[in-house]
Formats: sequence, structure tokens, C-alpha cells
Amino acid sequence: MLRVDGIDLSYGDLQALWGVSLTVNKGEIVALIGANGAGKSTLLRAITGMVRIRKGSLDFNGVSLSKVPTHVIVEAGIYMVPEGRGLFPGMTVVENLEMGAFIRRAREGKGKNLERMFDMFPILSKRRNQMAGSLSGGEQQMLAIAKGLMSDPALLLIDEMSSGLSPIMVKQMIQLVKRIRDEGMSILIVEQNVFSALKLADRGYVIENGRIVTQGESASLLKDGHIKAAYLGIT
Amino acid sequence: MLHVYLQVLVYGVYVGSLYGLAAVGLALVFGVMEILQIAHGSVVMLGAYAAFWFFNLYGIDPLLSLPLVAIIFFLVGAFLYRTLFAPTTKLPTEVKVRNSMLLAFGLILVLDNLTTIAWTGNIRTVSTFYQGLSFGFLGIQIPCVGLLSLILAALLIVGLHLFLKKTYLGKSIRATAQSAESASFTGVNIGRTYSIATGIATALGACAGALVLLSSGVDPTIGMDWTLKSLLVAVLAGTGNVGGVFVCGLFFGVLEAIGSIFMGPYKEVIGLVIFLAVLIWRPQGLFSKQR
Repeated sequence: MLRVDGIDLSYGDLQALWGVSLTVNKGEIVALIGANGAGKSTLLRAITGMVRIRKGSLDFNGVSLSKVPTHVIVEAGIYMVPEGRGLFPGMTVVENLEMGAFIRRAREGKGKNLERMFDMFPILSKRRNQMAGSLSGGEQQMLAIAKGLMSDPALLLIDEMSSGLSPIMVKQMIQLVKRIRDEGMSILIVEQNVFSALKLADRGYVIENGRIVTQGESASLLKDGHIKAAYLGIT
Repeated sequence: MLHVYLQVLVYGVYVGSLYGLAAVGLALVFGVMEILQIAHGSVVMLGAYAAFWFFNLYGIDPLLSLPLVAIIFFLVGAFLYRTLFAPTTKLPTEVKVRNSMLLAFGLILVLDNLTTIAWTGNIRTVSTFYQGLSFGFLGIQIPCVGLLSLILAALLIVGLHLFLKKTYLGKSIRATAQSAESASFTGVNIGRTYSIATGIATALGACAGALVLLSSGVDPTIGMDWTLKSLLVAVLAGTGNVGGVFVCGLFFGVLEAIGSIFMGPYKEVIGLVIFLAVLIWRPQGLFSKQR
């Protein structure tokens, strides 16, 4: 479904990605793990068209994404929940959800999806006329994901899902992501919390200094000596 | 003596409604994309000229040509954004404000001087049947043009407010103002949204100009004055609140009118003193919610 093939990307003279390849299949949860500054967010920004790649190809359901602007990529079915959640703090919860259904394809089902989100997240229903900026961190993360689901995406990208959340919230988020996957969506999560990310995902990619160094089934990655030592602190 | 004050108050409200209408455009452009469009006063001036020529050449009343003027200047605004201001939007905020202001300053020189060359420096006025009309109310005279201007300005402001609150396009403009990046992640075409916002702001400025034409006529030098007034009112109100900008416009008009009784030609000082006071004690503006 999503195929990233050998992409290079630079910020000016600074090369951030070196021949990165990655695929996400339908109904799959894929984790992208790596340290700060390894290139995880850059890869997501490349997939969403926020930065331009220099070499290689980005392809979603057979359509090339490498030269189209962000709003067209969203219309094609890729929705990104950015780090920091990408909410509109001065707009209400309902308005944020409505903005999630901004693209033409999603507007028709807006009313139905809104009901569905309030079913899924009763707390958002309670807060519906509150400003998004006044919600707690966990509520904001729920709103961010609900806002994404409003666009009926085929692929959801979630950057640093668990950052700033309590352990209980992280658990809830993990349940939520599984539930979304069971509805047929594909999810690419980017995490610093390597253990919980690999527990959740079907497959994982490890990125270091802008290169994919290891990839495979989550279960086997959890047993990988290098990953254990470098990310899980187990020797 | 009370009558004099009331009369001045009426005049102040009327002028203030035009200040408010003009300032809303400037505040919208700044609030959405942090572009300081100081040529907004020249837009007001050109809007007045457009209404004048519709009247002079085709005999269309300035109140009736208002929609035409609005449409033309919407397109002018979108064009100005695409050609002039779009390259500045990618810059960091501080540089963007500075560079857009310099660009707009150049635009003032070009527009004001071209207007003088094309249409001379003479003051142009229109005469309609309702300009001389006024009606008495509790012993004060309310000019017909003043009342019409107030009503039209208020309608345009309410319309803008509803547009921003209720429609998808309006919501996307507000969302883009809060975070262009987050807005583009929800599928908003940022360039298009910026064009539309600039178009609307320019159209509102031109509508204010058409109303100015009815009350005091137009010549090529009025632009700077309107830029200053719009800037004062917009800063006073803060961005992000359309109604607040309009209320500040009214407030400013009334204050200036009352000031003219006590200070005569120095009435401008009052506005500037308040401007400084607000900048010192409430730099985010009187009506701004966020810091």
C-alpha cells in the first residue's frame, strides 16, 4: 500500500535520509524506531509532502507521491498526527473534528463520523464545546487521533504517540490503535518508547543516522541483540 | 451643551464604523499570515476611486456598486498575494513581518503615485440624493449617509464573523491562522487559503473606501491616513477577533470626535497616546484571547 523506495533527502547541505526503503501493507501496524535525530520525523514529513525528496520514490496504492503537495496526499488517504498533535488550540473540540473532515471525500460522512468519534471517545463528547487548548494531554492525543479518523484515512501516521502521556494513557492509546487496525486501517507509528512500540506493531524498522539498519517482525526484533543493547537497555 | 456632545458622539460612531471596517481587513491579513499589509489604506483609496468611476461613467450609485467593487478587489487582493506576498510566507515570523511591510511600503508608493498620474490630485466627490438628508432625533441630527455606513459596515462585519465561524472555508482560514502546518495536515491548501483571506481583506478595505467616498470624497493622498487608522485600531484590538476590531474602531472614532472638542487639531494625539498605552500595558491587544 505505502512503498518508500530508496529515498535520499537533504536539508541544505545536510543529508538527513540515505536510501531509506519501507513498506506498509494493508491492515498492518508498522513501528519506526530510532533515537532523537535519527530521521524518523523527517521520513514522515517526506511521506506527507512537507519536505521534498532528492532521490528514490514514494508510492501509495500505485500513485506517486513524490511531487504532490500535502493537501493532495491527505486527499489520497494518508493522514498524519504530527508530534505536538497538530490541533487548533483556539478552536473547539467539535471544530477540530470538523477540520479533520475538511477534505472533500470525507465531508459527506462528517455527521456519521462525528457520532462515531463521540461513541469511541465519550470524554470528547463531554468536552465538545471546549477549546482544544484547554484539554489535558491525554484528551488532546485522543482528539488528535479522532480528528485524523474523521478524514477516513487508509493510512494513519502517528508521530511520537506516547510522548507526554501517563502510562495508563499510553495503554489506552495502544488499545485504540489496535482497534483502529481491526477496522482495516494501516498504521505507521514513530516511537522513542521502543518496547511498547514493538509490542504493538506487526513489523518494525530501526533507523539510525538516516539509514534503516534493521527491519523485521516485531517478535524477532525484540530478541535482536543490537536492539536489546541499544534501545531496551538489556544486555 | 449636551446636544453638542451627543452630536459629536453620533459623528464619532459613524466615522468609527469606517475605521472598524477598514481595520478588519488589515487585522485579518496579519492574523492569518503575519503579513503587515500597510498598503491597506491605499486599497481603501482605490476602492473609493472604483466607486467614483462606477458613478461617474455608468451612473451606478456607490451603494449599488458595492458588490462589484467587492468582487473586483477580492481578485485584486488574491493577485497581490500571489505575485507580491506569497514569497514571504515561508520566512520566519520576524523576517516575514519586516519584509512584507517593506513590500507593502513599496506598493503604497506605486499605487498612490500611479493614482495621481492617472486621475490627478484633485478631490473627487459624488452627489446622490441621500447625501444631504438627515433626520432629527432627540434634538440631534443623524445624517443619512452616516446611518447607512454604520449599518452596512456592521452587516459586513457580522457577515465576515459568520463566514469565519460557520463555513468550512472560514474555519479553514481560522485553522490556518492558528497553525498553517497543522492545517495542511488536515488537507487544507495553504496557498489557496492565503489568497482567499487576502482577497476578502482587500474587498473589505475597498468597501470601506466606497463608503468614505460618500462622506468625504477621495483624493490620492488619503491612503496613508487610512493605513495609520487601521493599524492603530487593529493593534488596539489585537488580531483573531473580528467583532473586537469593529468595536475598537467605533471606540476610536468616538474618542477622536470627543477629542476634537477639547484639543481641536491635536485630536490625533489622543489616538497615539492610547496606542502607546495599550502597547505598554496590554501588548497582545484589548480583545485578543491568546498571549
